[in-house]
Amino acid sequence: MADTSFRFGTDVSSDDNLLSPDEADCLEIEEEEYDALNDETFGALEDASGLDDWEQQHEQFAELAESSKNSERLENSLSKLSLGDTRYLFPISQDSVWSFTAPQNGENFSSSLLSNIHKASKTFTDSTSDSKSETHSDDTLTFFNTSTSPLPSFEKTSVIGNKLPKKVCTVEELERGLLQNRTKLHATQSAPSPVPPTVPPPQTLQSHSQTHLPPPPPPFGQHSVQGPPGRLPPGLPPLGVHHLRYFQHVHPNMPPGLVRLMPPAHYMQGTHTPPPPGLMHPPQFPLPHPFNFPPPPRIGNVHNLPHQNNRINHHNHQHHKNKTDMNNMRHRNEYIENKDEYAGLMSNREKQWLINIQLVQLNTGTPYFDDYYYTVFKERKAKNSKENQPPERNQRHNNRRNSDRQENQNTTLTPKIYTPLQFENSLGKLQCGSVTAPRKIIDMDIVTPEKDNENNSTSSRDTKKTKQLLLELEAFYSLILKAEDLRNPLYKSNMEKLCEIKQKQRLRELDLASTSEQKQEILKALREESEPLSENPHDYLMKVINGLFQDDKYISFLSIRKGKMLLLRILPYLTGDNFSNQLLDVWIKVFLSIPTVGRKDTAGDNLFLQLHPHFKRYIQSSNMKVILDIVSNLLEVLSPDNSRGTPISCLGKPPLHFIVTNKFGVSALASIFVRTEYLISTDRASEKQQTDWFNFVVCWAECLLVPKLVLVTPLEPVPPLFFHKHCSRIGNLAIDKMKLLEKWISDSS
Amino acid sequence: MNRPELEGTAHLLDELDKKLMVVLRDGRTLIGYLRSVDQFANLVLHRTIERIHVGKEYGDIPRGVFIVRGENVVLLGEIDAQKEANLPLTQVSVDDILDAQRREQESKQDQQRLLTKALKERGLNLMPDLTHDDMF
Repeated sequence: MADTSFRFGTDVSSDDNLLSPDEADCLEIEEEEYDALNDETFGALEDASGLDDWEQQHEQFAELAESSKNSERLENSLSKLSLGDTRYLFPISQDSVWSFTAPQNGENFSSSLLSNIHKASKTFTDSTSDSKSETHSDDTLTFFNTSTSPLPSFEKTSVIGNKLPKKVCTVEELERGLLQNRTKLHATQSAPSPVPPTVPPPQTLQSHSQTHLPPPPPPFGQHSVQGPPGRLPPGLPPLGVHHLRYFQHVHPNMPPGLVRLMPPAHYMQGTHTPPPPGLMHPPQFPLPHPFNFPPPPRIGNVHNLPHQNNRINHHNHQHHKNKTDMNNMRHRNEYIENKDEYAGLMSNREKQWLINIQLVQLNTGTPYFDDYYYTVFKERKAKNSKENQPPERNQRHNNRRNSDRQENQNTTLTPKIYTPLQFENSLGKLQCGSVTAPRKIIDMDIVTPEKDNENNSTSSRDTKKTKQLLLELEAFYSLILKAEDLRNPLYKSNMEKLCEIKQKQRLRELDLASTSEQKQEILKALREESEPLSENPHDYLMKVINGLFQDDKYISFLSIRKGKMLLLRILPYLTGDNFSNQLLDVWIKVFLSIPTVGRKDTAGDNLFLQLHPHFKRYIQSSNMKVILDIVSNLLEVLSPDNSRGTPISCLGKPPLHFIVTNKFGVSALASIFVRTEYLISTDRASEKQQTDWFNFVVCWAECLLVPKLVLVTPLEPVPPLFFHKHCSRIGNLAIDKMKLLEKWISDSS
Repeated sequence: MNRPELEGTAHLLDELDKKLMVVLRDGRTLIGYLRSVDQFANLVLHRTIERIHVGKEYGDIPRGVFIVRGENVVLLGEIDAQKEANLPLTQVSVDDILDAQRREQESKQDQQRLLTKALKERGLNLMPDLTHDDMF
């Protein structure tokens, strides 16, 4: 299969190719005379002619080097070939925006940029009108394939030396030829193996003079320096240079084709026709398999323009497909390959390095503090999965997981104490730089609001008051969070870890401290910090309760939703045994707040109703005294003395008035009713207590008689039996009142 | 990136060699192929164009290779090739889009001037620079 043969950019025998800028000629010549792998060619190279050619090439390149204005400049430009990507690697189309060319040596950046912008914009606007007529299957590809001019970029750009474009052409011819074959051999690429990095062309040229291989040159070991195997910034002669020399060294029989500047080596990967045996022996070397590195940058592809494609197609014997199909396929391949030229600039080592840095940053010993939400999320997920899975498996999993975590925590970053800029008493002006004004200085004007509007004052006072209340509630919330945290094992473990880390830090500081004074300070801090903190959730909760239910503020707190939510949050923690005194106070105050807050709450989201289960729980475990305490408060008429800020509508009436209109209030009373009946029936109420209670019931019934009261039924009505049993005890309860009471709090009717 | 520690994270390394749109703090929009990153999220963009959007029009300025300091990036996102091909916006020349941008900027400045004047009359001396650090 002639097509799978080695094809080098230039034919060995015809030197003219190297210098001819006309790509058409280049192509034709290479296709006609190029036939690297057959026996003739190989055979031909057995004699010195192959070496001669190699030497000839070297001479030519040397001439080139000298003949350019500046050998240095040549090297610079060659090395810049990698940066001047748009010159070759881009879809050539001058019409496209991507055909922007990088500035030349010594040129003014802005001028070239502007000129290119203008060029790009003009040609683009021209092409957009043209390209609309084109029907291309892939719109994005039209962008890249609308060019009609051959090899546009480098022809039009100013060149450093006359020789340069020719040299460039040379490189491209080579690659183009190579690429013809490779696109067919695409399927059989082998996995990349570490491969020697490239050496810039001038050096390789010079090194060609050596027929003997140097010992594996240093670059082979410098994996860290170069990118992934085979990945070159395009423009530099591919890696094959080294391999050529190796081939030479091992197999003098090698075909001349191999002993060239351009790398045939990579084409071997796809080669189906077994090359002469000599070529297939790389494994012997300590070197990585030369055939195994990934396809080098497909520089030549860029120049496979549509019209060229057609010509290439003619020579592609393997793919006898529809021409347009082939073209489309090739466009796509080229499109993809164009991108791949620069792909993989970051080697795996570099990526791994980056990941490691970030992992170390991630690994704090205290994820509960540093990444609270994610940690809690993972905990919950783990708990859920634990519930689903059988316990045995879990233990094993847990052990494994725990050990993993411990391993990871070995590589933790010690938190560096970072103190941000202090501004107090600073000398000089303070800067607040931004993108738009890097050296901006802070300049504050004191702005006082105009006092034109008197109306604002009252509302502003109100808002200030609300803000103040909210602030205090915030403080209570943080206390509750602290109390909850103290019960959380995750918090405890993280806290311990944090203390450990702090201690280590202090010790480190101690080592670094120079003066003895500093050392004393550090030792003091160390001693303070190492005292085990004996914090008690109970204390925090006490603080919260005392704060929330201050005599003069509790109504205001409970009028804000946040206050009610706070109450709901702490109630689960207020168990009877620890907080019995406080609970009584709490509930009394809650009831006393109903007159003020009840209506708003009912109109709002009825949070008081959520208090009911808690109250029920409480009352089920309370004695008669407690009950009497509560109810006696309900009968006290509200006066301005009792609490500041009692609304005028509340004055002169007992809270009971309002409680019977509030669903929570009524439900609470019903619970009390049931409990009292229970207590009485089990002889846990004295005579006096019973009398007091019965009096209350009578008052309660009388309350129901008040006109215009919107009465409500309790959440859990009193069972009728209970009701009747209880009422029978009450001597002075009139029948009609009893009926009324029955109607409202009992199940009957 | 199948490490358990990296679960639930997104990584810039997953965006390498992709065509991305990067928005910078000064409001510029760059489109280019991400070639390299580092621990500060500095980016190396290849074949970059700066795209200026004004209303329903846009214009591209080719820029080449960009190295962007990480702190200046607001966000970045992958460009869908098909959607890019079917943009609802119209592309115009660079000159036109720069003109349009200048006009838009001027009108914004005029509005701002009116606003500050009105506020001053009501006694509020607002300094827009202080409140609008960066573009974001």
